Amino acid sequence: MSRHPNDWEQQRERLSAYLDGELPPEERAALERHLPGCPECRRELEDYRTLRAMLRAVPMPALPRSFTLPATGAVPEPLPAQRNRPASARPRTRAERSSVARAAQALGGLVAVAGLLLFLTSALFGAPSGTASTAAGNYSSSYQPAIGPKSTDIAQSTHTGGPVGPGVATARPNEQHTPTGVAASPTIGTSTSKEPGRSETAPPLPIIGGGMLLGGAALFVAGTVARKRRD
Amino acid sequence: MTRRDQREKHERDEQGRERELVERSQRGDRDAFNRLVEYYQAGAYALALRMVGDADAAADITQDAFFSAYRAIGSFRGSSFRAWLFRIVSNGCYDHFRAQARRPAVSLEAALEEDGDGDAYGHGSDWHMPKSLIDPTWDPERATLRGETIQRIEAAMQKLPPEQRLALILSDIQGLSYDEIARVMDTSLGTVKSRIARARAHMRGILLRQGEHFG
Repeated sequence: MSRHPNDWEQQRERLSAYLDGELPPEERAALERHLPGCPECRRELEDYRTLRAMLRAVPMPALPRSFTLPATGAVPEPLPAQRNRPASARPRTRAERSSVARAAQALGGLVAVAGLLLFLTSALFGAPSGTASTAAGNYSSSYQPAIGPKSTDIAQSTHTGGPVGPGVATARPNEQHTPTGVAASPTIGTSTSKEPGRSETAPPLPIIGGGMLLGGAALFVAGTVARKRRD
Repeated sequence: MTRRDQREKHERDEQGRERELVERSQRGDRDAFNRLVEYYQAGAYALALRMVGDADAAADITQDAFFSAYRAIGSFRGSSFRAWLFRIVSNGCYDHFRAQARRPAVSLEAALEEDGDGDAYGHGSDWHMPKSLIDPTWDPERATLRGETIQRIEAAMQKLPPEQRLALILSDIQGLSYDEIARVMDTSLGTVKSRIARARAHMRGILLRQGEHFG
Protein backbone atom coordinates (compact mmCIF):
# COMPACT_ATOMS: atom_id res chain seq x y z
CA MET A 1 0.00 0.00 0.00
CA SER A 2 1.43 3.29 -1.13
CA ARG A 3 2.39 5.93 1.38
CA HIS A 4 1.76 8.55 -1.27
CA PRO A 5 -1.67 7.94 -2.74
CA ASN A 6 -2.43 11.58 -3.48
CA ASP A 7 0.80 13.38 -4.04
CA TRP A 8 2.98 10.96 -5.96
CA GLU A 9 3.57 13.45 -8.76
CA GLN A 10 4.93 16.01 -6.32
CA GLN A 11 6.89 13.40 -4.41
CA ARG A 12 8.50 12.23 -7.63
CA GLU A 13 9.54 15.79 -8.39
CA ARG A 14 11.01 16.16 -4.93
CA LEU A 15 12.99 12.95 -5.31
CA SER A 16 14.25 13.97 -8.74
CA ALA A 17 15.26 17.44 -7.55
CA TYR A 18 16.86 15.92 -4.45
CA LEU A 19 19.03 13.76 -6.67
CA ASP A 20 20.24 16.89 -8.48
CA GLY A 21 20.85 18.78 -5.26
CA GLU A 22 18.18 21.27 -6.20
CA LEU A 23 15.85 20.96 -3.22
CA PRO A 24 15.73 23.89 -0.79
CA PRO A 25 17.29 23.05 2.58
CA GLU A 26 14.04 22.56 4.51
CA GLU A 27 12.56 20.23 1.88
CA ARG A 28 15.82 18.31 1.68
CA ALA A 29 15.86 17.80 5.44
CA ALA A 30 12.22 16.68 5.41
CA LEU A 31 12.88 14.19 2.62
CA GLU A 32 15.95 12.78 4.35
CA ARG A 33 13.83 12.18 7.44
CA HIS A 34 11.20 10.47 5.28
CA LEU A 35 13.40 8.15 3.21
CA PRO A 36 14.51 5.60 5.83
CA GLY A 37 10.88 4.63 6.42
CA CYS A 38 9.71 4.59 2.80
CA PRO A 39 10.96 1.78 0.51
CA GLU A 40 8.83 3.10 -2.32
CA CYS A 41 10.64 6.43 -2.37
CA ARG A 42 14.02 4.80 -1.89
CA ARG A 43 13.41 2.55 -4.90
CA GLU A 44 12.28 5.47 -7.05
CA LEU A 45 15.32 7.50 -6.06
CA GLU A 46 17.61 4.58 -6.82
CA ASP A 47 16.07 4.18 -10.28
CA TYR A 48 16.60 7.85 -11.04
CA ARG A 49 20.16 7.59 -9.78
CA THR A 50 20.82 4.62 -12.06
CA LEU A 51 19.28 6.33 -15.05
CA ARG A 52 21.25 9.51 -14.49
CA ALA A 53 24.48 7.55 -14.15
CA MET A 54 23.77 5.78 -17.43
CA LEU A 55 23.01 9.02 -19.25
CA ARG A 56 26.23 10.51 -17.95
CA ALA A 57 28.07 7.43 -19.18
CA VAL A 58 26.83 7.82 -22.76
CA PRO A 59 29.92 9.05 -24.61
CA MET A 60 29.95 12.43 -26.29
CA PRO A 61 29.44 12.01 -30.04
CA ALA A 62 32.47 12.67 -32.23
CA LEU A 63 32.39 16.03 -33.95
CA PRO A 64 31.73 15.51 -37.65
CA ARG A 65 33.77 18.63 -38.47
CA SER A 66 34.83 21.94 -36.99
CA PHE A 67 32.09 24.56 -36.78
CA THR A 68 34.41 27.56 -36.59
CA LEU A 69 33.56 30.49 -38.82
CA PRO A 70 35.64 31.12 -41.93
CA ALA A 71 38.41 33.62 -41.21
CA THR A 72 37.20 36.14 -43.75
CA GLY A 73 34.16 36.84 -45.80
CA ALA A 74 30.56 37.33 -44.86
CA VAL A 75 29.05 34.81 -42.53
CA PRO A 76 26.18 33.18 -44.37
CA GLU A 77 22.82 33.66 -42.81
CA PRO A 78 21.23 30.54 -41.50
CA LEU A 79 18.49 29.17 -43.75
CA PRO A 80 15.03 29.07 -42.25
CA ALA A 81 13.89 25.49 -41.64
CA GLN A 82 10.91 25.98 -43.96
CA ARG A 83 9.64 28.76 -46.15
CA ASN A 84 6.08 28.99 -44.84
CA ARG A 85 6.08 29.39 -41.11
CA PRO A 86 2.96 28.65 -39.09
CA ALA A 87 1.43 31.44 -37.06
CA SER A 88 2.58 29.80 -33.86
CA ALA A 89 6.24 29.79 -34.88
CA ARG A 90 8.64 32.08 -33.14
CA PRO A 91 9.03 35.53 -34.65
CA ARG A 92 11.32 35.87 -37.63
CA THR A 93 14.79 36.93 -36.71
CA ARG A 94 16.59 39.79 -38.31
CA ALA A 95 18.56 37.27 -40.30
CA GLU A 96 15.41 35.78 -41.75
CA ARG A 97 13.85 39.11 -42.69
CA SER A 98 17.00 40.30 -44.41
CA SER A 99 17.06 37.15 -46.54
CA VAL A 100 14.16 38.68 -48.50
CA ALA A 101 16.24 41.79 -49.08
CA ARG A 102 19.13 39.61 -50.17
CA ALA A 103 16.85 37.78 -52.63
CA ALA A 104 15.79 41.12 -54.08
CA GLN A 105 19.43 42.04 -54.51
CA ALA A 106 20.24 38.76 -56.21
CA LEU A 107 17.24 38.93 -58.55
CA GLY A 108 17.81 42.55 -59.37
CA GLY A 109 21.44 41.88 -60.15
CA LEU A 110 20.64 38.99 -62.47
CA VAL A 111 17.95 40.89 -64.35
CA ALA A 112 20.19 43.91 -64.72
CA VAL A 113 23.04 41.81 -66.09
CA ALA A 114 20.72 40.03 -68.51
CA GLY A 115 19.32 43.33 -69.63
CA LEU A 116 22.78 44.76 -70.17
CA LEU A 117 23.83 41.78 -72.24
CA LEU A 118 20.68 41.97 -74.32
CA PHE A 119 21.12 45.68 -74.84
CA LEU A 120 24.72 45.31 -75.94
CA THR A 121 24.02 42.31 -78.17
CA SER A 122 21.15 43.94 -79.94
CA ALA A 123 22.88 47.28 -80.24
CA LEU A 124 26.10 45.81 -81.64
CA PHE A 125 24.74 43.08 -83.85
CA GLY A 126 21.33 44.41 -84.75
CA ALA A 127 18.05 42.73 -83.80
CA PRO A 128 18.44 38.97 -84.26
CA SER A 129 15.51 36.60 -84.67
CA GLY A 130 12.95 36.35 -82.00
CA THR A 131 15.09 33.82 -80.16
CA ALA A 132 16.83 36.40 -77.99
CA SER A 133 13.61 38.09 -77.08
CA THR A 134 12.06 34.79 -76.21
CA ALA A 135 15.02 33.98 -74.06
CA ALA A 136 14.68 37.37 -72.49
CA GLY A 137 10.99 36.83 -72.03
CA ASN A 138 11.51 33.50 -70.37
CA TYR A 139 14.39 34.85 -68.37
CA SER A 140 12.57 37.87 -67.08
CA SER A 141 9.45 36.02 -66.13
CA SER A 142 11.47 33.22 -64.58
CA TYR A 143 13.65 35.49 -62.53
CA GLN A 144 11.17 38.01 -61.30
CA PRO A 145 8.55 36.10 -59.38
CA ALA A 146 9.33 38.06 -56.23
CA ILE A 147 7.74 41.14 -57.67
CA GLY A 148 4.62 39.33 -58.64
CA PRO A 149 2.48 39.34 -61.72
CA LYS A 150 3.94 42.67 -62.68
CA SER A 151 6.99 40.84 -63.99
CA THR A 152 4.95 38.88 -66.42
CA ASP A 153 3.30 42.11 -67.48
CA ILE A 154 6.67 43.63 -68.11
CA ALA A 155 7.62 40.69 -70.26
CA GLN A 156 4.32 40.83 -72.09
CA SER A 157 4.39 44.53 -72.59
CA THR A 158 7.82 44.34 -74.11
CA HIS A 159 6.39 42.01 -76.67
CA THR A 160 2.97 43.42 -77.30
CA GLY A 161 3.12 46.98 -76.01
CA GLY A 162 5.85 48.24 -78.26
CA PRO A 163 5.99 48.34 -82.01
CA VAL A 164 5.75 44.63 -82.54
CA GLY A 165 3.90 42.78 -85.18
CA PRO A 166 1.18 40.23 -84.84
CA GLY A 167 3.69 37.46 -85.19
CA VAL A 168 4.76 37.92 -81.62
CA ALA A 169 1.26 37.78 -80.23
CA THR A 170 0.50 34.55 -82.00
CA ALA A 171 3.78 33.05 -80.96
CA ARG A 172 3.23 33.80 -77.29
CA PRO A 173 1.42 30.60 -76.39
CA ASN A 174 4.50 28.66 -77.36
CA GLU A 175 6.66 30.48 -74.93
CA GLN A 176 7.27 28.67 -71.74
CA HIS A 177 6.96 31.09 -68.92
CA THR A 178 7.81 29.33 -65.74
CA PRO A 179 7.72 31.82 -62.90
CA THR A 180 9.34 29.52 -60.42
CA GLY A 181 12.42 31.51 -59.53
CA VAL A 182 16.07 30.90 -60.14
CA ALA A 183 15.75 27.20 -60.75
CA ALA A 184 13.90 27.95 -63.97
CA SER A 185 17.09 28.79 -65.80
CA PRO A 186 16.92 25.65 -67.92
CA THR A 187 13.97 27.19 -69.66
CA ILE A 188 16.25 29.66 -71.33
CA GLY A 189 16.54 28.65 -74.92
CA THR A 190 14.15 25.73 -74.71
CA SER A 191 11.23 27.28 -76.49
CA THR A 192 13.15 29.44 -78.85
CA SER A 193 13.77 27.10 -81.74
CA LYS A 194 10.14 26.16 -82.05
CA GLU A 195 8.85 29.46 -83.29
CA PRO A 196 9.66 29.84 -86.96
CA GLY A 197 7.35 32.76 -87.38
CA ARG A 198 9.20 34.99 -85.00
CA SER A 199 12.14 35.88 -87.15
CA GLU A 200 9.92 38.06 -89.27
CA THR A 201 9.20 40.43 -86.41
CA ALA A 202 11.73 42.78 -84.83
CA PRO A 203 10.78 43.78 -81.31
CA PRO A 204 12.85 46.63 -79.93
CA LEU A 205 15.48 44.56 -78.19
CA PRO A 206 17.59 47.49 -77.05
CA ILE A 207 14.53 48.84 -75.31
CA ILE A 208 13.82 45.51 -73.67
CA GLY A 209 17.42 45.25 -72.59
CA GLY A 210 17.48 48.78 -71.31
CA GLY A 211 14.26 48.23 -69.40
CA MET A 212 15.61 45.11 -67.77
CA LEU A 213 18.82 46.87 -66.89
CA LEU A 214 16.99 49.72 -65.21
CA GLY A 215 14.44 47.48 -63.52
CA GLY A 216 17.11 45.08 -62.28
CA ALA A 217 19.26 47.91 -61.02
CA ALA A 218 16.33 49.41 -59.15
CA LEU A 219 15.58 46.07 -57.51
CA PHE A 220 19.20 45.61 -56.57
CA VAL A 221 19.36 49.06 -55.01
CA ALA A 222 16.14 48.43 -53.09
CA GLY A 223 17.55 45.20 -51.71
CA THR A 224 20.82 46.84 -50.74
CA VAL A 225 19.07 49.70 -48.94
CA ALA A 226 16.84 47.24 -47.09
CA ARG A 227 19.83 45.20 -45.99
CA LYS A 228 21.80 48.24 -44.88
CA ARG A 229 18.89 49.40 -42.78
CA ARG A 230 18.62 46.09 -41.00
CA ASP A 231 22.28 45.53 -40.28
CA MET B 1 44.57 27.43 -0.77
CA THR B 2 42.08 24.60 -0.23
CA ARG B 3 41.01 22.45 -3.12
CA ARG B 4 37.61 24.04 -3.12
CA ASP B 5 39.17 27.49 -3.21
CA GLN B 6 41.32 26.38 -6.09
CA ARG B 7 38.30 25.10 -7.97
CA GLU B 8 36.38 28.29 -7.39
CA LYS B 9 39.34 30.38 -8.48
CA HIS B 10 39.67 28.27 -11.60
CA GLU B 11 35.99 28.80 -12.39
CA ARG B 12 36.31 32.54 -11.88
CA ASP B 13 39.35 32.66 -14.17
CA GLU B 14 37.46 30.69 -16.81
CA GLN B 15 34.52 33.04 -16.57
CA GLY B 16 36.84 36.02 -16.87
CA ARG B 17 38.50 34.57 -19.96
CA GLU B 18 35.14 33.84 -21.50
CA ARG B 19 33.88 37.34 -20.78
CA GLU B 20 36.93 38.74 -22.52
CA LEU B 21 36.36 36.55 -25.58
CA VAL B 22 32.72 37.61 -25.71
CA GLU B 23 33.65 41.29 -25.51
CA ARG B 24 36.23 40.91 -28.26
CA SER B 25 33.67 39.05 -30.38
CA GLN B 26 31.23 41.89 -29.87
CA ARG B 27 33.86 44.22 -31.30
CA GLY B 28 34.04 42.07 -34.42
CA ASP B 29 37.02 39.89 -33.48
CA ARG B 30 36.20 36.72 -35.35
CA ASP B 31 39.20 34.84 -33.95
CA ALA B 32 37.94 35.45 -30.44
CA PHE B 33 34.52 34.16 -31.43
CA ASN B 34 36.09 31.06 -32.95
CA ARG B 35 37.78 30.35 -29.64
CA LEU B 36 34.31 30.27 -28.12
CA VAL B 37 33.17 27.99 -30.94
CA GLU B 38 36.05 25.61 -30.29
CA TYR B 39 35.17 25.49 -26.64
CA TYR B 40 31.43 24.92 -27.00
CA GLN B 41 31.03 23.12 -30.29
CA ALA B 42 31.19 19.60 -28.85
CA GLY B 43 28.45 20.38 -26.35
CA ALA B 44 26.34 22.21 -28.90
CA TYR B 45 26.58 19.37 -31.42
CA ALA B 46 25.85 16.76 -28.75
CA LEU B 47 22.77 18.71 -27.69
CA ALA B 48 21.48 18.94 -31.24
CA LEU B 49 22.21 15.29 -31.98
CA ARG B 50 20.49 14.01 -28.84
CA MET B 51 17.51 16.22 -29.61
CA VAL B 52 16.91 15.46 -33.26
CA GLY B 53 18.52 12.02 -33.54
CA ASP B 54 19.99 12.71 -36.97
CA ALA B 55 23.67 13.50 -37.48
CA ASP B 56 23.29 15.57 -40.66
CA ALA B 57 20.45 17.65 -39.28
CA ALA B 58 22.37 18.11 -36.03
CA ALA B 59 25.41 19.38 -37.93
CA ASP B 60 23.29 21.88 -39.87
CA ILE B 61 21.57 23.06 -36.72
CA THR B 62 24.91 23.48 -34.94
CA GLN B 63 26.46 25.42 -37.80
CA ASP B 64 23.41 27.65 -38.10
CA ALA B 65 23.46 28.25 -34.35
CA PHE B 66 27.05 29.51 -34.45
CA PHE B 67 26.28 31.73 -37.42
CA SER B 68 23.26 33.14 -35.61
CA ALA B 69 25.24 33.59 -32.43
CA TYR B 70 27.96 35.50 -34.23
CA ARG B 71 25.49 37.78 -35.96
CA ALA B 72 23.59 38.39 -32.74
CA ILE B 73 26.48 38.57 -30.28
CA GLY B 74 26.10 42.33 -30.04
CA SER B 75 22.87 41.79 -28.17
CA PHE B 76 24.21 39.20 -25.70
CA ARG B 77 23.92 40.69 -22.22
CA GLY B 78 23.62 37.76 -19.85
CA SER B 79 26.22 36.07 -17.73
CA SER B 80 26.09 32.61 -19.29
CA PHE B 81 27.21 32.37 -22.87
CA ARG B 82 26.56 28.66 -22.75
CA ALA B 83 22.90 29.11 -21.77
CA TRP B 84 22.46 31.70 -24.53
CA LEU B 85 24.13 29.49 -27.13
CA PHE B 86 22.19 26.39 -26.10
CA ARG B 87 18.99 28.39 -26.38
CA ILE B 88 19.85 29.16 -29.99
CA VAL B 89 20.65 25.49 -30.63
CA SER B 90 17.40 24.28 -29.06
CA ASN B 91 15.41 26.84 -31.08
CA GLY B 92 17.06 25.36 -34.15
CA CYS B 93 15.95 21.91 -33.03
CA TYR B 94 12.35 23.08 -32.61
CA ASP B 95 12.45 24.61 -36.08
CA HIS B 96 13.59 21.22 -37.34
CA PHE B 97 10.66 19.49 -35.62
CA ARG B 98 8.20 21.98 -37.08
CA ALA B 99 9.61 21.42 -40.55
CA GLN B 100 9.28 17.67 -40.05
CA ALA B 101 5.73 18.02 -38.78
CA ARG B 102 4.84 19.48 -42.14
CA ARG B 103 5.33 16.08 -43.65
CA PRO B 104 1.97 14.28 -43.88
CA ALA B 105 2.94 11.31 -41.74
CA VAL B 106 3.64 13.32 -38.62
CA SER B 107 1.22 15.73 -37.00
CA LEU B 108 2.50 18.76 -35.17
CA GLU B 109 0.60 17.68 -32.10
CA ALA B 110 2.31 14.33 -32.06
CA ALA B 111 5.70 15.92 -32.58
CA LEU B 112 5.24 18.39 -29.76
CA GLU B 113 3.30 16.19 -27.41
CA GLU B 114 3.82 17.43 -23.91
CA ASP B 115 2.05 14.90 -21.77
CA GLY B 116 2.50 11.18 -21.68
CA ASP B 117 4.77 9.71 -19.08
CA GLY B 118 4.66 6.17 -20.40
CA ASP B 119 5.08 5.18 -16.82
CA ALA B 120 3.40 1.82 -17.08
CA TYR B 121 4.75 0.63 -13.79
CA GLY B 122 3.62 3.33 -11.43
CA HIS B 123 4.73 3.29 -7.89
CA GLY B 124 4.26 0.98 -5.01
CA SER B 125 4.71 -2.04 -7.26
CA ASP B 126 7.60 -4.42 -7.25
CA TRP B 127 8.83 -3.21 -10.56
CA HIS B 128 11.87 -1.10 -10.61
CA MET B 129 14.85 -0.75 -12.84
CA PRO B 130 17.54 -3.20 -11.90
CA LYS B 131 20.80 -2.41 -13.62
CA SER B 132 21.05 -5.97 -14.85
CA LEU B 133 17.90 -5.61 -16.90
CA ILE B 134 19.47 -2.87 -18.91
CA ASP B 135 22.99 -4.13 -19.13
CA PRO B 136 24.19 -7.12 -17.15
CA THR B 137 27.82 -6.15 -17.57
CA TRP B 138 27.37 -2.57 -16.54
CA ASP B 139 29.62 -1.49 -13.76
CA PRO B 140 28.75 1.94 -12.43
CA GLU B 141 32.21 2.20 -10.96
CA ARG B 142 33.79 1.98 -14.36
CA ALA B 143 30.88 3.84 -15.92
CA THR B 144 31.22 2.44 -19.41
CA LEU B 145 28.26 1.14 -21.36
CA ARG B 146 27.89 -1.45 -24.06
CA GLY B 147 27.13 -0.16 -27.52
CA GLU B 148 23.76 -1.86 -27.48
CA THR B 149 22.81 -0.16 -24.24
CA ILE B 150 23.84 3.20 -25.61
CA GLN B 151 21.64 2.61 -28.64
CA ARG B 152 18.70 1.70 -26.46
CA ILE B 153 19.15 4.80 -24.34
CA GLU B 154 19.39 6.98 -27.44
CA ALA B 155 16.31 5.36 -28.97
CA ALA B 156 14.37 5.78 -25.72
CA MET B 157 15.34 9.45 -25.65
CA GLN B 158 13.82 9.94 -29.08
CA LYS B 159 10.49 8.76 -27.74
CA LEU B 160 10.29 11.51 -25.14
CA PRO B 161 8.29 14.64 -25.93
CA PRO B 162 10.76 17.36 -27.01
CA GLU B 163 10.37 19.47 -23.86
CA GLN B 164 11.14 16.52 -21.59
CA ARG B 165 13.96 15.39 -23.84
CA LEU B 166 15.58 18.82 -23.81
CA ALA B 167 15.31 19.17 -20.04
CA LEU B 168 16.84 15.73 -19.48
CA ILE B 169 19.68 16.30 -21.96
CA LEU B 170 20.57 19.64 -20.41
CA SER B 171 20.49 18.19 -16.91
CA ASP B 172 21.98 14.72 -17.19
CA ILE B 173 24.14 14.98 -20.30
CA GLN B 174 25.23 18.59 -20.32
CA GLY B 175 25.28 18.96 -16.54
CA LEU B 176 23.53 22.31 -16.35
CA SER B 177 21.96 23.53 -13.13
CA TYR B 178 18.17 23.92 -12.98
CA ASP B 179 18.70 27.65 -13.00
CA GLU B 180 20.67 27.55 -16.21
CA ILE B 181 18.20 25.11 -17.76
CA ALA B 182 15.40 27.54 -16.95
CA ARG B 183 17.30 30.21 -18.89
CA VAL B 184 17.91 27.95 -21.87
CA MET B 185 14.27 26.88 -22.00
CA ASP B 186 12.95 30.32 -21.06
CA THR B 187 10.72 28.91 -18.37
CA SER B 188 10.38 28.71 -14.59
CA LEU B 189 12.36 26.58 -12.16
CA GLY B 190 9.17 24.71 -11.26
CA THR B 191 8.58 23.75 -14.90
CA VAL B 192 12.18 22.59 -15.24
CA LYS B 193 11.87 20.43 -12.12
CA SER B 194 8.61 18.95 -13.39
CA ARG B 195 9.94 18.20 -16.89
CA ILE B 196 13.06 16.48 -15.60
CA ALA B 197 11.08 14.35 -13.17
CA ARG B 198 8.60 13.34 -15.85
CA ALA B 199 11.39 12.67 -18.31
CA ARG B 200 13.07 10.32 -15.86
CA ALA B 201 9.84 8.44 -15.11
CA HIS B 202 9.12 8.25 -18.82
CA MET B 203 12.59 6.98 -19.75
CA ARG B 204 12.42 4.36 -17.07
CA GLY B 205 9.08 3.16 -18.40
CA ILE B 206 10.38 2.92 -21.96
CA LEU B 207 13.55 1.07 -20.97
CA LEU B 208 11.65 -1.35 -18.77
CA ARG B 209 9.19 -2.16 -21.55
CA GLN B 210 12.07 -2.77 -23.94
CA GLY B 211 13.75 -4.97 -21.37
CA GLU B 212 10.64 -7.06 -21.10
CA HIS B 213 10.45 -7.29 -24.86
CA PHE B 214 13.91 -8.74 -25.07
CA GLY B 215 13.03 -11.17 -22.28
